[in-house]
Amino acid sequence: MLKEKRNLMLYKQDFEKFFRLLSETFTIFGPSKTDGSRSFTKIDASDEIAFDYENTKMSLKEFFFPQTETLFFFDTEKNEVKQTDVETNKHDKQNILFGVRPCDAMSISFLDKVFNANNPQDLYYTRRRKSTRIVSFACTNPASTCFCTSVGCGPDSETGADIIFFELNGRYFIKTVTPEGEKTIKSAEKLLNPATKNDIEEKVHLMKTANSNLKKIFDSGNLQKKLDNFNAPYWGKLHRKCLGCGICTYLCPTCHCFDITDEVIKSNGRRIRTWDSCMFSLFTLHASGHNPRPTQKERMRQRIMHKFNYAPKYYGKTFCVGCGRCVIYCPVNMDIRDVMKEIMEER
Amino acid sequence: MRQIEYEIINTVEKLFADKKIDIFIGYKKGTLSLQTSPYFLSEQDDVRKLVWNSFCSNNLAVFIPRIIPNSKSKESKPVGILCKGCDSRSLVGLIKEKQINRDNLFIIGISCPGIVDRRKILSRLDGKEIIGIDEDADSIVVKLKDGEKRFEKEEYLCESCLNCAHPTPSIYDVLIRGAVYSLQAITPDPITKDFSSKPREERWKIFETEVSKCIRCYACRDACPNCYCKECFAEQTKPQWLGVSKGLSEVIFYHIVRILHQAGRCVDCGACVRACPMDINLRLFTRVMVDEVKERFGYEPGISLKDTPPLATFSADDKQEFMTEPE
Ligand code: SF4
Ligand code: SF4
Ligand code: SF4
Ligand code: SF4
Ligand code: SF4
Repeated sequence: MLKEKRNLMLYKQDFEKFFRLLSETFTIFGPSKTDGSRSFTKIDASDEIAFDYENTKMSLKEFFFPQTETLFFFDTEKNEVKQTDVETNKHDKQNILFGVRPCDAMSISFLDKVFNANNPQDLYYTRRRKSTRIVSFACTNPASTCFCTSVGCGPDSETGADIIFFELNGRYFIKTVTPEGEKTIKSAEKLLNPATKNDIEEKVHLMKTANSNLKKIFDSGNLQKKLDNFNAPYWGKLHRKCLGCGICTYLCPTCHCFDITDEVIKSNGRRIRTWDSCMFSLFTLHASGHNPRPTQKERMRQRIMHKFNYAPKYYGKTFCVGCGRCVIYCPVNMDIRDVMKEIMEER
Repeated sequence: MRQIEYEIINTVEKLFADKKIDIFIGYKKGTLSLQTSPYFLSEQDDVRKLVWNSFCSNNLAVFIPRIIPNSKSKESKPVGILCKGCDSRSLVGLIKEKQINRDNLFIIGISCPGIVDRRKILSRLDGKEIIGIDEDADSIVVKLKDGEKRFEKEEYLCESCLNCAHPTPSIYDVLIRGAVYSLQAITPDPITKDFSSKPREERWKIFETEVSKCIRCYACRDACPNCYCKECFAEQTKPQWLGVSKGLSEVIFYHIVRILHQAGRCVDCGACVRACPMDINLRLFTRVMVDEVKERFGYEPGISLKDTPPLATFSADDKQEFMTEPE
């Protein structure tokens, strides 16, 4: 492990140079002005980065766990299987995801628990993950839909990041979080100076303000206990306005359910993995026609329970980082914060 | 607005008191500015939470086939529902397609001044946080940390509302008359007319660019009252109509079929557009269908319970010049 995390300073006027030096060794992805911060895209020049974005519409997960992925090709006549190259390997350089929000960085540490565990380990996810550094950007101006501090994350959370940036007046405060993070900035070392006591104070003050702008809405610890009641009466009501679309799970950075399908044309086939969602009626439909989650009630319960009850039990973490995407994009304004409040208030 | 809200509340209160309904579907205040949320209430719930404003955007008819089985017996009480013009047109469609029984509904109709498109307003705020909203007859006032901004409703209505020919519900049990949206409706719609006048290649390009943003979340389908199929073609496996990937050809296929399944049925409510998280301009294509159906068959869905939908009938003088021999 890193002996000491370093606090470094970079003048904003040197950022362009910093970016260029890093891009010699890395391919850089970030929220870009050109696609209106829809997702993380390849950035060629430092001024393409949208620094003031709230959160990309699509979360970071699609970078490591794309919506559609070919696992391998096969030939049913020749009886052959051909392994595909993992897609990120087409860039010969390693990647940097730059300007990641701390909630998204934390979400990747959760996906690691699912896909990058010892047994089984997901080859596709892990390869991408190994070739990618995460440089996050502390939030100084959280959106009204953010509730990271209610779920154990926060605007300056370091979990999942290799490096974290704080934007101070005219300069960036850079903290290296992991040894990989240290290696990442090596080539730009000459632009960086150690942070002074003043710098640190300014940073602490900045984050205090950001933290105070975030209301703690519920206590995710108590919530887990509360949810142990699988047959609580509120499940009969909460789901009623839910349309059963997949928005809340497709946009969620921690949702990771997938389906596997073989597509075969004549003798050429491929096995693909695609995102799936517990909010879909087909999610648990058996071949017999039986569906153990026959209505939206059971599906809504699954979504909430998985995030706030099962995941804490199996992984020790609430699988929600408070990014607010499901809050913003749900077509019927199903606000997960409200759902939590309602559940907490129930006796 | 307030006055109408009181009227809705009083009417619903009376319906519960007279034991006419057990459940009512309306709107309540949303947790985000510029939004409301569908509200299911029964007698013990707070009827005063019902709201009526320019952001009552969901088409509530979508819930009806989900909560009323079409076999529902006559003895059980009807479901109460608040309907704008378009919501009622959707109900007409559902009744004609035998998904529900008119007797199982108690409709509070409300003549509609149009729904304000929250995305249009948001696009004018440069990401600034909204701290409050005020609404009067003609405008929306958005309060920001550093002042306020006034938006004339007429300029910020949803595209479908801007060209709505029937803001007053076509069927209802009680009608609450409010201000009706007053702009003249035009057929064909100017936006889609412009689209239709473009050369085929260009139209295809536009279509492809729009739908390529799709993530196949199916919210457009799930928000639409017409999409009540128990098993959607998009997810069918026997036979399988389209692949499961996010590839362009799959996405195109999904959209073409969804749009075609709306022929003579789409009431141009805009619910699909508002639900789409990717801001895809789905209306461009469904409205073309609406206008084509009107032009070729003189039919507008949702207006009358009696006339026969064009896809359910045949006439010897149906226009068919668009049918071509295979080359
Ligand atoms: S986004 Fe909203 S409507 Fe869609 S499945 Fe999630 S909660 Fe239900
Ligand atoms: S559940 Fe909602 S707020 Fe929580 S991480 Fe997922 S999208 Fe973000
Ligand atoms: S079960 Fe549902 S909530 Fe859990 S990861 Fe899968 S999609 Fe997300
Ligand atoms: S296709 Fe869209 S506009 Fe047409 S009825 Fe359905 S939701 Fe409304
Ligand atoms: S709502 Fe939008 S993104 Fe979702 S399936 Fe429909 S068009 Fe695609």
